[in-house]
Amino acid sequence: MSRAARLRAYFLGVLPEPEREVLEEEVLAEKDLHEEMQASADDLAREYLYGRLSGADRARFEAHFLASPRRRARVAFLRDLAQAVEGVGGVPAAATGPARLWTARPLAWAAALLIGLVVLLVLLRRPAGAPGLAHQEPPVPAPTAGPEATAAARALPTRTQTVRLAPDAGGTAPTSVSVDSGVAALRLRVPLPEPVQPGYDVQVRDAAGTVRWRSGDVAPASAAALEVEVPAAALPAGDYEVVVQGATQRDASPAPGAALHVRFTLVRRP
Amino acid sequence: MMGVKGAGGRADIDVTSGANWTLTGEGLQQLLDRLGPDDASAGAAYEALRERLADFFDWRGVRLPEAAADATLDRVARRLSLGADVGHLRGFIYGVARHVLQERLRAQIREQQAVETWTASAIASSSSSSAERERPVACLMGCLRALPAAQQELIAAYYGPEGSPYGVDHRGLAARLGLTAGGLRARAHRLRVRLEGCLQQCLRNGEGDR
Repeated sequence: MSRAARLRAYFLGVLPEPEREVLEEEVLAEKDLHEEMQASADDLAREYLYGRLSGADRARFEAHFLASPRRRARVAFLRDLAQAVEGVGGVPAAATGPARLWTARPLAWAAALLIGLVVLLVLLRRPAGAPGLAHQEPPVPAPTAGPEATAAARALPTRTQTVRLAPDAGGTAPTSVSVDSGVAALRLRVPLPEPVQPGYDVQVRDAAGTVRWRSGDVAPASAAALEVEVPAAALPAGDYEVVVQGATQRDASPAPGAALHVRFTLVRRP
Repeated sequence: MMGVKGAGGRADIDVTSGANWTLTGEGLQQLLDRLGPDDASAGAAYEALRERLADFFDWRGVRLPEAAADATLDRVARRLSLGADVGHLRGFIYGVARHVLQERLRAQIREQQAVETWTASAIASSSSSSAERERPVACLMGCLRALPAAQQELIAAYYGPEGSPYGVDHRGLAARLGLTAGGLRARAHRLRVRLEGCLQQCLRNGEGDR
């Protein structure tokens, strides 16, 4: 088992006890290992937040990792940090290089231009310098409550936006959903066909078919609809498909058309 | 007498809490002497050790892990003040920590406190509908803006929304900065830790409010 796999198993609570003890004793003596473990825990938490854990690992994560208030706070911190990164426009334009994975979509470029202008204004208010990564980074100062911070806070409508989706009808275009950059979560409301099941598995897949978010055994919000809350940070602009599968359908042999498919296009408003 | 045997430690060392014992300056000084050649380095080593112990207890499911870390270090200091030949210090500390762990877990079982069940929906909705949810994000935005551009880029690469245009090819970024992938990851992690400190300070100062 690789070291990365060992650390992952540790945080999922499946590393055998003798190996756990060896690892824990090493952590007390090795600063680098301690940092590596914390980073590994962060990686796992992000996989959870973005729905990339398998069903079994997700259950282990919730039972083991999230049993700790400190670790729950850490997961919430990572979620907030992702939103904050998005809120400030990712990274300053001056720091971008050829490695950046910009998409060629016009909307992304338009957003980049706007973000760049905002960042440029911020940079102009800062002392010159800071090319490249300093080896000894200065402490991160707490933000002031100046006009800029206040304006940023006001620009953050961190709320839940309800999105009512309709099942796909042949040949119709997917629903277009516009989302402000500060929205924290999307409450997706999907009408359910009869007969309504007691629980549903829900996946949100991107255009490439990658599962961006999932949840299991979701109870219907009413006799006619299902609602799930998806962290907005998990869904960048693009095309998505919500796949809803009833528990009885999941357990039985899959039948064509058994799952409900709902498509939508998410558009980010700056 | 309760005994413990950590790797590098020795058997039959009394590590129980000792009802009538309190941490003395002498015990603490002896521990610090073992951790570093001068006050500054020993103090830093003590704090680092305490943080790692707190993480150890947290990873093992102990409530109030910082208190368990303090209890461990107090007991180690106690043994040192009593003239114990501790030998390999880190191994001894781990042995004491495991003993404290067993005590705390037994106590928790006795308390029969219900384990909270957290689900994806709970995480997603825990604070998304309240004003409390807004303050950390506003604070973090301020913290991010205060960082040099290159550090913002690093944080965005590692902790930005997945699949967004802010995503960065980690290998490409590491190559551009002359770092290994592991070095880049470690640096991003240290920045993340400092952002957490910045966030706490911002929240304590009452900033980030609308």
